[in-house]
Formats: sequence, C-alpha cells, structure tokens
Amino acid sequence: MLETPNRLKQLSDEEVIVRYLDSQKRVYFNILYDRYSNKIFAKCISILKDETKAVDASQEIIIKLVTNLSKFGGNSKFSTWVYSITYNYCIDILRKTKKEQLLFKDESAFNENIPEDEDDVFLTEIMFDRLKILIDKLDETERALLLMKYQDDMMIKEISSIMQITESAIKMRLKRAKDKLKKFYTATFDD
Amino acid sequence: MEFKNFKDLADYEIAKNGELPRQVKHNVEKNINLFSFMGDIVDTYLPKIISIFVGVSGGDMSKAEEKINNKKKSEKYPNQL
Repeated sequence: MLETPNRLKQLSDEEVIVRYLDSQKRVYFNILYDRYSNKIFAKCISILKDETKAVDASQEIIIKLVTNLSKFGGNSKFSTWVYSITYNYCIDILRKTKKEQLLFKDESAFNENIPEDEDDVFLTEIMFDRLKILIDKLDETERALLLMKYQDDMMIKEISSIMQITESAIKMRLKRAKDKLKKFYTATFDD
Repeated sequence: MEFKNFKDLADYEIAKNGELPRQVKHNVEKNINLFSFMGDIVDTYLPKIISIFVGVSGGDMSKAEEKINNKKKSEKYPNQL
C-alpha cells in the first residue's frame, strides 16, 4: 500500500524500521537518512573536531546502522541506539589515534561512591553561549562524556559500555570533566 | 533535571555544520547494494556448494538441499535498497 508523504513524515522511527526491513524500499531508508544523517555528522564533528574525519566516520556509521538495523531490539529509543553507535565509532577513532592511552585506562580503583549528579545544577545554569565556548576547551573524551550524559541522556551503564571502562570510572571522569568546566567558567567569565 | 543548554548546543552544532555531502548518501547506497548483492550470491550458491560437499562425502544430497532451503525460507532477507 502506498503511503502519502505526510503520512510517511508522521511515522515513528520504529515504524519506519519495521517497514524498511519488511519491504527494503528506498523511501524508508531515505526517511531515516534525512532524520539522522546531519545529527550524526554534527556529533562526529563535535567529538573528532575534524571535518574530513567526521564525513568519513558519518558514512561508516550510517552503513553500520543500516546493515545492523535488524539487530535494533527496541529496548531503548532508536535515537539512543544511533548515538551509541556514533559515539562508539568516534571513541574508537580517538582510541586509535591518541598516543596517550592513559585516557582510556581502567580507573576501577577509584571511589565507587561518587554522586552522579554532583554539580548538575551548576551545569543547567550555564548560558548556552557560554557553554559552547567552555565545552570546546575540554579534551575529546571529556567532551564526549558530557554530551552522552547531558545531551543524549544516556545512562552511566550505557556510557560505560561505549567507553569500555567501569561505571565508577565513568562517574569519576564525569566529575573531573564537570570540575574542569567549572574551573574554565570561573577563569573565563568572572561574574 | 532539564539540560536545555546542552540540547540547544546540539541544535546549534547541526545548524553550524550543515548537511553531509551528497556523495555520502550515494556511497552508503552503493555499499548497501553491494552487501545485498553478495547476500544474493551466497543465497544462490551456498546450498549448491554444501550439497556438493555432502555428495562428495557420501551423504544424501537431496535431504541436505531440502534442509537448507527450509532454513532459507524462514530467514529474513538481508538489507537491500
């Protein structure tokens, strides 16, 4: 049955996926591509900070997404699944290119009782114009961590599986990233 | 807790970086079609190759073929554009 363009636009991601897997029609692929390609690209640039690398990464990520679409179980939102794959891919690139492997060492020995939402009130109060300056001052891993947690609302468990380090290490890194952001804030905007 | 500033940052990044080059979509489609073509090849020839092996090793070729065909029917086709 043919669907009108308006009806197609209203379909949820999950409905589009089911239709695509059933029919293999290009129209459904196009919908997913239009909804996510630029988001994936923007995310790749914000992590990799290199446009050429981001274009290549986006292409590989989209191929990966489409070829693994049947593995999307619907346990999380489709966007979360898309961003997990995006972060995973970009973190892998960083891991390969970074000589400083210490960035990814397991920090399980750190204190397990770090509160997850410490300083979150401070984060919500940073003006958008200031946030975009401050976030660029962080290194790639710290930036990716904060984006996963506060932009894409990922759980610590999900972030931990993407970064391949323990949940307590993630909490520790988040705390450090937030501390750094706070420090940069005080140094840059003295008000 | 609402992190509106982080969500705004995402929108800003999307607007700032613009669209992915058109070539990317073309490359993605090419790749997916290639995977699909390879899937077709495997689907067509794998049962024959297996049944040849079964025949060479002295087994019943028709039974093996039937088993593979039944399995094929129940499987979903790989992604294809």
